Amino acid sequence: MFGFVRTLIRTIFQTDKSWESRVLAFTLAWGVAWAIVGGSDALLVRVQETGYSLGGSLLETPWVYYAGLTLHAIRFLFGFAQQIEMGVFVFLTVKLTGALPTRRWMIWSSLILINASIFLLEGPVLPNSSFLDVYFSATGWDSLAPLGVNGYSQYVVSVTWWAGWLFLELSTFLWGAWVMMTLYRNLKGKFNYVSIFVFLTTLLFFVGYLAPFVSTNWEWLSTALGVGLDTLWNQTIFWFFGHSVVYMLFLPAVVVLYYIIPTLVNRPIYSERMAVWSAVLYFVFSDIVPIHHLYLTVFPAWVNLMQEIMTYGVVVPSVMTFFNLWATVKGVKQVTWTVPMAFAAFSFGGAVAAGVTGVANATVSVDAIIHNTMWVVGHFHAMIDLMIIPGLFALLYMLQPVIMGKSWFSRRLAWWHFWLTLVGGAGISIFMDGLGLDGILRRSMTFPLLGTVTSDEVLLTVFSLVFGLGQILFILNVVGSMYGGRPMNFEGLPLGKSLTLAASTTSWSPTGGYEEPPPARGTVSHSSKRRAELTWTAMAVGLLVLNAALTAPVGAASGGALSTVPASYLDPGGTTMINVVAHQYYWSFNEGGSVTTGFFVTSPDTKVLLNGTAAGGNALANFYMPLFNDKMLDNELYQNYNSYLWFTTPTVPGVYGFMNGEYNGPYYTYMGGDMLVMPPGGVLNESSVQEYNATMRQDPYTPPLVEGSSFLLQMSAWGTWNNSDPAPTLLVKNGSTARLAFNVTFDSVASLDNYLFNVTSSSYRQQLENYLTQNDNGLPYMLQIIHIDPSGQLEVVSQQQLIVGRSVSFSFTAQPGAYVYGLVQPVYHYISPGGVASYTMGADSGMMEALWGVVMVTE
Amino acid sequence: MKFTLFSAMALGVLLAAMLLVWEEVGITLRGSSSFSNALWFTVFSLLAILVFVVFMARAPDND
Repeated sequence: MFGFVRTLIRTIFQTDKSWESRVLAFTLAWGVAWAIVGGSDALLVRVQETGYSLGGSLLETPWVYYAGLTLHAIRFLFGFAQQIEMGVFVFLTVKLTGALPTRRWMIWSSLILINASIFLLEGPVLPNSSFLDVYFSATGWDSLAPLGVNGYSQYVVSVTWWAGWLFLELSTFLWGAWVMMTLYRNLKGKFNYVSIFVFLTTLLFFVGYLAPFVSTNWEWLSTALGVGLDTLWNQTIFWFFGHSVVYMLFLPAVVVLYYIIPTLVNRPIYSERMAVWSAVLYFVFSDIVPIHHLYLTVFPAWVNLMQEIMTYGVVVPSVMTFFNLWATVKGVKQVTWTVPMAFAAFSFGGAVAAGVTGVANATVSVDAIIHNTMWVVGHFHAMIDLMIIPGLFALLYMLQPVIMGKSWFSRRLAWWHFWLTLVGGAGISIFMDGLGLDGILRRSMTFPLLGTVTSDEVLLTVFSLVFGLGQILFILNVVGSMYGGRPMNFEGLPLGKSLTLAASTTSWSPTGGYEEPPPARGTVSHSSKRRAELTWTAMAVGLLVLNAALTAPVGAASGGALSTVPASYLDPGGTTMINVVAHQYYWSFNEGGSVTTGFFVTSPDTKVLLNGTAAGGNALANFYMPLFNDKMLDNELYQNYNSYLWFTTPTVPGVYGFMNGEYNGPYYTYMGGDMLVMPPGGVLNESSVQEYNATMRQDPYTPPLVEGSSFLLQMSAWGTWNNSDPAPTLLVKNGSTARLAFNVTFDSVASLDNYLFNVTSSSYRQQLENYLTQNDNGLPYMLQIIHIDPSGQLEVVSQQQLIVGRSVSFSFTAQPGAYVYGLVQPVYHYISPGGVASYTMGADSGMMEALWGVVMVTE
Repeated sequence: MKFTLFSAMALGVLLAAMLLVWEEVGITLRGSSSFSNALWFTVFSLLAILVFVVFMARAPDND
């Protein structure tokens, strides 16, 4: 038994091999472990969204879902991708320098710190709870600070979150210092384009991590010691990391392609000069573009456009790299396909796909449409699943036999892995993009159940499973190779030759044969190549300048700065001025002293200026009203800052939905609202109804329309009427009697997704039963019917207590104007099983308002 | 004609272009709110892909 364990450890961690091989094996073992757990997180997310799409029910609690989403990102980005890249860079550094590595403690400390950080970022574990699993308290997103900061956000993350970040930062600094020091000391004056890329990419890591080092520790000091936090500047500092972290993951894959593509085709790189310039430009532009994630905040237009152009600066080295890699294989009559070659071509195509959509995202006028939607998620999944991961696999298929001294167990499994990764990865990106094009917000546990949305969600799950199956086959092949791989001898071979030999064991040929491409004949002159390089680069710059110029006028009118608001919308005589405050988790509106929550009332074809901010205690929010036939309204709201949204209301009266577009806690998608465009005289005519019905269907967050005189409103398990937030818009005839019946079951209130009963004990169902027995099945909330007259004045028509297990009915005669029905006031909700919630453990509370809707009156 | 690494990379560019066209044209035609925003970017994308593909076909071999 002991011998078996010893052999297992030696096989996994390659303890009998060289130091750099042991480091790489350590990062691979831990990286794969985090990928498996991170993959399970993705499965949890897919199960929740698919279950909701197919049946309107939630299978997990909101905090489990959001923790799963966060941890999926953390475990994949840092535990898997960054860690393996760190191992690969240590391996390459030793091989490139040929030096005996010194100060090895720096690398081992770094690897211990990065793995410890992933544990800490999960938050505390509560094993004694009967229903809350290890995900309480959930984790945060520093990109959305002050989310999770005690005193600035009612959703508070555990202090282990900040400790996790500090460990991650220190790990990166230690590793980066070692790689750069080792390269510099041993390669003085002998750098080539690969070592320059390795050095500058490592420097990019080092500089990039300085931003979260400042912002996350500022948040930590704020949450623990009450140090003041400027929400916008804290977020801006973090976002310096936001772009560079993508390039920290992207550039190692680029380094891999720069190294293995020439190796695979037995040719030198097309242009070493172009490669070096690419490395320099990548480094220069990657760390200085934080605002391109924050276009729709309060920065003036000139800042946004300047950042757009600087982001285009990053496109130039990418275009140069695409040319250089593609041209390197031009004219090569290579005949034998291998798995690394297939993954390299896949990674190249994925880089182009994700790269060009990245240019779209960087363009202010395009970002104004797709900002915060699933499209953005599709873009970065394209970068990760179609470029970074295939690039790493291309290298791993060559490195593993070299490190282990054994061939791959099965060529067939390797090729299946390739095809499933290709098909699954493409499907994931395409269906995420599709959801974004439908206007669906990212990080959405609940979403409008429209036809295309539900089918996209289901297909996204199918392709995720295909992708996951591919990775299972890869792991099986790795394990098979450890025990059943054919012994291979790489003694005395240079690294390039060793890698080619390793690649040849995954040949596509049925016989397993491999034919190496012939070397270059030297028939093409350097000057003609140089002309091609310069022309290509000049064309790229010219096209980017053209695009910037053509899209600038619309881009200059985007964002929430007061300076972007046209003068005609600042005239109080001709514009309806409304102040909007985003609370956690509800909206309040103030129009000339008249305050409403959840909705605001306007007239058709009227100029409106919304002056928005976030309340203290609500980290941040986003006013998202995608009126596809009028205007996209999508601005971020910050504490202590004012963000302005200007628009002319639709000419067609009716109800237009909006949503909080930014994650501010696990209940953020319950934060819907309605803009009520009041018809003249308060009565919708037949043609208006038809026109509204035809146009509003394109707007995803506008509630569904139901026509009739008698309506049954059933409370869902997640605290909405008829699975819609806000509830469906009801159409009743002027002068008729409308009947609304509200039906509430015990199970719907007892659901952990519902917010009507606070979670203070792990036996909360019993607690609810006891409460209802003592209070005649009544909850302390009033269902109301409120009339809004055509001038916007509100009057309560009738109200009754909300009763569990019995239908509560209202009847009223429809008068001109509109009505608001349901639980119109926000309800306080908090989660603290056994009283554990605190700023050290984490906490979640807020005011919820999702059980209400609007009645419109027709002729 | 053999399916070389160069051909595979060209296929990758072609598929990326198709993805981009689907996305950008989809955004542009979605409604009046997005038409003017995305129109020029779509034109730019198509032009860029066309120019680069033609240019790569004419670039000298790595030989």
